[in-house]
Amino acid sequence: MAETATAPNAKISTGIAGFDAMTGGGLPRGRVSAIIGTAGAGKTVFAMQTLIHRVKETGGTGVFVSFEQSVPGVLADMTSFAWDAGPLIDAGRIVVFDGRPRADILLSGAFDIAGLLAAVEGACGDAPPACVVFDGIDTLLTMLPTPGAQRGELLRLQDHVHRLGGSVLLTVKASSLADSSFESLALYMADCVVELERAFEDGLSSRRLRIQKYRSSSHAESRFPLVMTSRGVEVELVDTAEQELPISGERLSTGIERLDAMLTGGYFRGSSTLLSGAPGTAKTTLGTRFLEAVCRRGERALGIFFDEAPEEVLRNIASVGTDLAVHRAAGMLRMHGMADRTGGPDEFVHEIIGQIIAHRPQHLLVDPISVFTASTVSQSAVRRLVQFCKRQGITIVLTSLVERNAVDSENSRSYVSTLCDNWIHLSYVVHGGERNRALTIVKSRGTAHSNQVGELLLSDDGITIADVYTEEGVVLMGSLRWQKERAGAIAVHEAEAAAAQHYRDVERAADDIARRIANLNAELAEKQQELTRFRDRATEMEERQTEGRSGIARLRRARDADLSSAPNDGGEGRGS
Amino acid sequence: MVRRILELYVAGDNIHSRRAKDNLDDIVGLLGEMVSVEVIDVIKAPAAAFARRIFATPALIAISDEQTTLIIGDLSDRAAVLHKLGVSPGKV
Repeated sequence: MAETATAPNAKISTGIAGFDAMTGGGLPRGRVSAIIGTAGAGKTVFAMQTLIHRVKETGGTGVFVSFEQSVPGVLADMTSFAWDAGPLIDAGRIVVFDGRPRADILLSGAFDIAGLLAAVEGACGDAPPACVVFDGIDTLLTMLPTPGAQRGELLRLQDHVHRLGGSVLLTVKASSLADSSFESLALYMADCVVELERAFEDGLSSRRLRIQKYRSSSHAESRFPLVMTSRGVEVELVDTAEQELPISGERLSTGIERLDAMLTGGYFRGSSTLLSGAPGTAKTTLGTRFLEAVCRRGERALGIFFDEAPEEVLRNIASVGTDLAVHRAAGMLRMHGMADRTGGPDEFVHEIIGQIIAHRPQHLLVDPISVFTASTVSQSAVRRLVQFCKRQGITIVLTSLVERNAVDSENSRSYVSTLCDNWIHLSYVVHGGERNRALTIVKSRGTAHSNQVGELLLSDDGITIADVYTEEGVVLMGSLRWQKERAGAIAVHEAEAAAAQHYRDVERAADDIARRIANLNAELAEKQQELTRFRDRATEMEERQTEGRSGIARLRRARDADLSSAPNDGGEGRGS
Repeated sequence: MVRRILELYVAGDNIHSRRAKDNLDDIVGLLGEMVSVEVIDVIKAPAAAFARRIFATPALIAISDEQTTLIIGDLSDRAAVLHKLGVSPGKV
């Protein structure tokens, strides 16, 4: 019974996946839920979608009571969405009740809505309805004379719903009037109140959904983007939970050899890159080059094109030698054109994420991301997209159109550039009557990137980047660069000649010194020989002197012996 | 000959229903013509309520050759009801 409303299975799925997720199952079973919102916020679509989902899921009957639209109007709305409502309507399982008070109606005295509740029961035959929607119930309630009567009738409705066991949705127009007592009454009475808002920013609409209250149930508290598509409304859940993002150190070629070198190998896998620039600065060319490079590696890629149809893109990039048609035919690349879209940023991101889920790419190009303006809604939409891709490890390349060619205009998409890991800015440099494309790597996280401005050269056979010369603070490109290159070549030649001359001079000097060293060595050897000769002679003379001295000594000793042995000893004299 | 059919839709036997029935009796007397009066309880006959698009009770549906008129409420403002039914105030 309805008393088990607090149990987890006491919720009924609305078929709006995001809403079911944020409420832990959907709307309360056997209770009154109110959807309140401004005009065009999506109240009726939310209610219709839920009703049809309930009818499909239960196999029962649903009653849609409209206080604002005719029966054909409601049926036309229901069948305009991709819900396949036609067969259900034909089978009588969706009953639309026109509750619009006729213009010529006379109100005379007190009344109640018991008749309406009976009529709803009568619409379904014997079985109670699976779901009942009272669309624009404020219209009915304002006919009641006093707030007391309004309150009484809402309580009657609540009683009735509890008795029937089915679920009831009321949609209520949020009134700008402060004294809309029935509004607060409806909010007080309902077990679940869903608030929808619609706002316009930069001419684009955006919708938000918030659960204002949900009795006996926990629910997500914040405002979530509500997107309107051909499949009805969907709540875009923002996954705010902290999560370990996949980090890769793998470099992926940008498809341009020199750019790879400037980025020390290319973009990191799973990183995000912003290619900003004025119209015609080859943003699409650079972006599609990357898609071609990854497809050649056998990886899946998705290209989202807001400015041109995919066929136009294919034709244009073929002129610089980029062939994506083959990868598209092989099913590796999906090219999704969104040039004719009229939705807001939330719808755009919803569609892109839908494409990602359908194609499961490893790499994504959005050309250009600048369809998202600097409005807060756009910012949060782009953030969601980038975050979604990061979590999937998808490498992102976003192009961004910058209207003016001024340096400070690089800041106009500052929130995108802040989000991105790499930022490459493309610009025109007009000098000497020429307009040349310049490429600057403004930032590149985790990379010792080149600070140099490069000149982007497009030709039939592809794209290259040439070094540029800077002269007195002016970057030289095009023919000026050529002149500079030529002047440089002459200078190099002259320098080479001068160097050769200098080499010869030094060589000669060295030879000279070597020769002088040889002469000196010879002279040295001669002097050394002379010295040797002197030394030998001196030795000889000394020896001779020594010999002479010993002869004299001998003679002297003999004479002394003669003198001493003569009177008393003859032995010594005889012995010698 | 009956020129007018009056269908009074009520929800059960509550105070609004009873007042509406009493007021209708008085109004029929004031009309001074042959009318067919039928009282339908929507609680017992919900299908009829659905068929007639009854979104409030009591509700009086007056069917004549010229038009079909819907009056919501317990019919306590008799002058207004008679006026709505195309009866001139002078006759009241």
